[in-house]
Amino acid sequence: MFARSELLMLTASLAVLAGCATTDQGTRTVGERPQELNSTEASLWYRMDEAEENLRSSGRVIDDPALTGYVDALVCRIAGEFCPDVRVYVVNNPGFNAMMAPNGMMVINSGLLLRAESEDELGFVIGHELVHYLENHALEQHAAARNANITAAVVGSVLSIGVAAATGGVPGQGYSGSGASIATALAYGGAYAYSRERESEADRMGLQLASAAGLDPKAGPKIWNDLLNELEASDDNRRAARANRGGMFRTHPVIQARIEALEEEAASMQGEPADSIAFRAAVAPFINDWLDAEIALRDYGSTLQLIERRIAAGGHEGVFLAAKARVLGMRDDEGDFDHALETYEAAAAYADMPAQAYRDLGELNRRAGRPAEAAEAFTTYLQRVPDARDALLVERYIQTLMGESE
Amino acid sequence: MKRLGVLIGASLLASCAVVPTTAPAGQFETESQFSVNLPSDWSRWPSQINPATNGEYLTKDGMLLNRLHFITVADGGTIVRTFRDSEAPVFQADASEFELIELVTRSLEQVGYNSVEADDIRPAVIDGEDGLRFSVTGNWENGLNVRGDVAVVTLDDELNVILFMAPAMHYYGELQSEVDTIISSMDLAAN
Ligand SMILES: [Zn+2]
Repeated sequence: MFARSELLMLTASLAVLAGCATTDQGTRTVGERPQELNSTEASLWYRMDEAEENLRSSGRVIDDPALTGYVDALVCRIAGEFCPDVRVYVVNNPGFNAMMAPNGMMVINSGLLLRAESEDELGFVIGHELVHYLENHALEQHAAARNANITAAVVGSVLSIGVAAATGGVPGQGYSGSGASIATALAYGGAYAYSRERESEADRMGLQLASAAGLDPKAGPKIWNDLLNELEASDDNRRAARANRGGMFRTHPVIQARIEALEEEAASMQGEPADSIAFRAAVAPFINDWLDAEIALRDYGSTLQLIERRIAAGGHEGVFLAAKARVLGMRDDEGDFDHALETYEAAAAYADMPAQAYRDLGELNRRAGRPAEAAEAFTTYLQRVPDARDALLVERYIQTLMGESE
Repeated sequence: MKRLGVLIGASLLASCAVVPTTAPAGQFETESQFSVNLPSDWSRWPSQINPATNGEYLTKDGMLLNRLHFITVADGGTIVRTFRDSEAPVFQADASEFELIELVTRSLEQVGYNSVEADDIRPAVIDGEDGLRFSVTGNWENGLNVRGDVAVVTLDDELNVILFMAPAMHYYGELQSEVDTIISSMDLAAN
């Protein structure tokens, strides 16, 4: 997997034992499928096919021809002759993550697309995931587990729980559904927490794949650096701890070492920054919704860091500025109110500012005891979205505010 | 003596195994900061046996076919049950009504529902307090279309929620009016 999990107990023991017996499964060939039907590989493959079927019918996959068409084309450009073997799904999930299953199913979280600034960055992540697939990392992990006397049943159940969690359901829990996004990452982290060596290999070769496809290799270290900054800006104790703690999640030195290794490798590779026009156009209709999901987690520190970075990078300015204003209004620290007002004003200069920003501006003013300004913004909102789902509520606000401002 | 033994056995059982029980028609004290009046019998799933969310459920025909969720969320709390390192939408006492709607729909999206949208959002007076009613639509994780009705009201920095969910076809309509009655009977403990 790409992010958020490094080591579970299982993997820790695998890494130790990987040195005792060879687990190298070689490299894949085009169109390769398990030959022996009762092999463990075939059973893994079968479980993944099932998980993929569940994912497909879950309603969790973003089913937009423009977006999937764009991502498919980029995957094909990087995967080359393996293109027909890989199927990509963009899934609604605010977590920064991607995963690749040994049957060719690639899952990309919306949270990753929200964070990627360019085609180059997305291309690096895709390259990284493809290496796990092409180099049979999942099978190697499985073989290592066997060498470690961890039974196939254990690995298989971890794997299927992991994939079910990643794809939206928890097996054996019936009605309960999946857990929270990190719990999800943890669960499939258990299945896909590759050893540090495999992660390094995926980083290095992923960078080569992206570079060979004409993408800028410097995007590799950049996306990790951005994630590190975001974790460090978090005002959620648990998240901050995650960036600092050893063990389960990446520690600073681990991320730092990863960034340094990537920087060194990128320096010797070819590739110029792509123009990201197609990338931006493909994600544009979704950015606002993905930001809403991110904001709902209420980690103002890391969300503002993410938003500031995106504003500085350019693109979707109206959407990101409006989101920044909204977060400032929610945080409401000293000076946040004025800053939020200015930011809404700046956002309004861009055509892509969502109409919802007028509603949020109305709410900001309503709470600040500015009825006239609030009523005006709410009215603009209803003019722009006359059939808004919350129109009745907003109308009531306007009526009350008009009374107050008279 | 024998009878006493049975009683002791039963109370021991009650303390170590939590199982669904009957919630008979009439006044029902929820685990949350409110009570409701049930027009008919329901089966009750206490919070201890709900792995994905906080709060308790009532159901008629099984959790997948209809579920009535009662929960009071404290400032900084969540509807989704969080574990170590898990993230979920958070309630804050100063949240706007728009944010409360978002809290409910995003939380549902973390416990097995997808593409959840709020609709028919309307102000409502609940037990004398200014609250909010709305309906939700979405899909269960197997793709099934679901519908729901939500009532939320904040009192003393706590969010009280009644959330009804059922498959859109047949099951939702069958219980909609009973659920409406239940929501109308909401009696906030602090009042
Ligand atoms: Zn990886």
